[in-house]
Amino acid sequence: MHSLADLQSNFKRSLVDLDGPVPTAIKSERAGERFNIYRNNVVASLIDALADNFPAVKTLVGDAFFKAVAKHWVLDNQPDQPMLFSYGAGFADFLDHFEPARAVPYLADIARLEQARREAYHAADGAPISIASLQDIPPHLLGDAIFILHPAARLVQSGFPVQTIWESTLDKPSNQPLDLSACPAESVLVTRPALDVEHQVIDHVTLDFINALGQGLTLHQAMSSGRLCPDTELPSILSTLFNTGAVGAITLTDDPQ
Amino acid sequence: MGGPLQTAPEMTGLPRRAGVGLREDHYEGILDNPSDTTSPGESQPCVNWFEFHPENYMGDGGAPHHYLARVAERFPLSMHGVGLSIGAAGPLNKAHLNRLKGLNERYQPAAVSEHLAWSTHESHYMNDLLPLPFNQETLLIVCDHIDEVQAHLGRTILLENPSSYLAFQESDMDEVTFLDEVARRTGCGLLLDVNNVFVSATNMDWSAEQYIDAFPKHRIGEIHLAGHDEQALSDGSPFLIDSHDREVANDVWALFEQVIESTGPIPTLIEWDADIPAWPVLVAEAARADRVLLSSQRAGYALAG
Repeated sequence: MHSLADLQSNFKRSLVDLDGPVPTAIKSERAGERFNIYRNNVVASLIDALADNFPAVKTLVGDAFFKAVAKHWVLDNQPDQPMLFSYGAGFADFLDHFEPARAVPYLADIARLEQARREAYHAADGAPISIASLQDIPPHLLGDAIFILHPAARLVQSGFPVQTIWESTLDKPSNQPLDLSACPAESVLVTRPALDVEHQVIDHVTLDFINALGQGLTLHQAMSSGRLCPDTELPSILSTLFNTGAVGAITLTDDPQ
Repeated sequence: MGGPLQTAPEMTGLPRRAGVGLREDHYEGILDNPSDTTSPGESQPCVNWFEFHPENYMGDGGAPHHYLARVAERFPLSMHGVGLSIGAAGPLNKAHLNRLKGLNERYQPAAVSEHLAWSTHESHYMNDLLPLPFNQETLLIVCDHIDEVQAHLGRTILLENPSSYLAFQESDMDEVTFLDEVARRTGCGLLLDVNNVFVSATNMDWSAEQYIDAFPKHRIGEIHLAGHDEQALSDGSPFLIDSHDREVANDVWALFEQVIESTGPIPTLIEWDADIPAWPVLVAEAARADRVLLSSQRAGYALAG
């Protein structure tokens, strides 16, 4: 007789070891066929969950390839919480090193964009503040202001045109292979000003600036940390930040320098 | 017929009518056109409450909470967990229990239920309701876990009978005795999934009618109905998969009527979780369940009168 702990340990091990033994605790006839129902349910349902979470990755590589990739992943990586919407946080890193996916070098970054989109969808609520709120700040304190990013704001840095590729997956019938040589690399700012997730391409200067703000630097520090030209570039960067709903709050340091 | 109805006490705040699962695809329709909860030819709504899976609403904010809150303003809710792993030998996931508590406080569902199953082993969530051996050891573990859940949430829950594809050497109790004992010891109610009874009975070659006869009906707080897929084992014996992807089978409707005949109306859910149909198809299934519940209600009144 097995203790419940042993029984579940054996059962679980064989569920995700497709060549593993059928647990001996099973009494029913045709134990293997019966056990395989659970094995198939577990593997197929986790593959489906990953497909739900990474629809563009699936579109880009096709159903059969996606299933094969996902199967590799799910057999080694079951969710660590029973919430499927958060499943797959490490999938992009896995794709980086998954040899058969080498022919699609941008796949991992598309997965990162989809991960960021999903995190933004479920992020805490909060009304983004508008650019008009800058007028409430005395000009001499503006440099020391700290912009707190909205809970849904995410950055995806990529060496590939991820936004263009992602958009192409929404338009499947065209199915034209993209000429990537004609597209510059794109980094993306993901936001959720209300209920719908939005994202847009940002340049490297904006990316570095938002990254600096995300680290808690003041406006002045963020400006000096990057390659930003305050007179010519700052207005358009601020306009991007506020128009996309990326700023959740502004705080003023007590101790202006 | 004959004999007094074994009507359950008010174990939930759900109406003793039909409900359906809440789906992202249906949010707008439910909220914009509440009359859509009425089936053509019926004079009153047949979708009277909604079930939600708490695991889908455990993010911090955004659309899921926005829509659930709006549905909760108009309809009673049943919070039906699939991820608590009450039958796991290891301890319950405290973070998950806290998230359930948060949802329970925020949405104040009329009923809370979970499954007699396990799904997590050493923090690996397998996303399936896995089977348990029915014996004294499992009984103690399940009762401890239900005590913990009920104490943490500050309310009683309903425990659902499983759909099974196999049995264990380690089992020395039958499923009905086990469920009755859990309910007796912990004070929890039972959620009778009639399709699960039919699926398990077919797969394990026991009688669904006898199971229903023996089931402690005074403990039933909610009923589930769902569709299943008919397959066969390699020896040709019928084998059913609890797929929730189609209409409820006629055999299951007959069992449901058998239950309601002896209990009177009980809150009943149409479960349709995969290949989700257009809203009118789901409403038609709910209408069928609701007719059984309403006619039982009328029969009850006639008896009382």
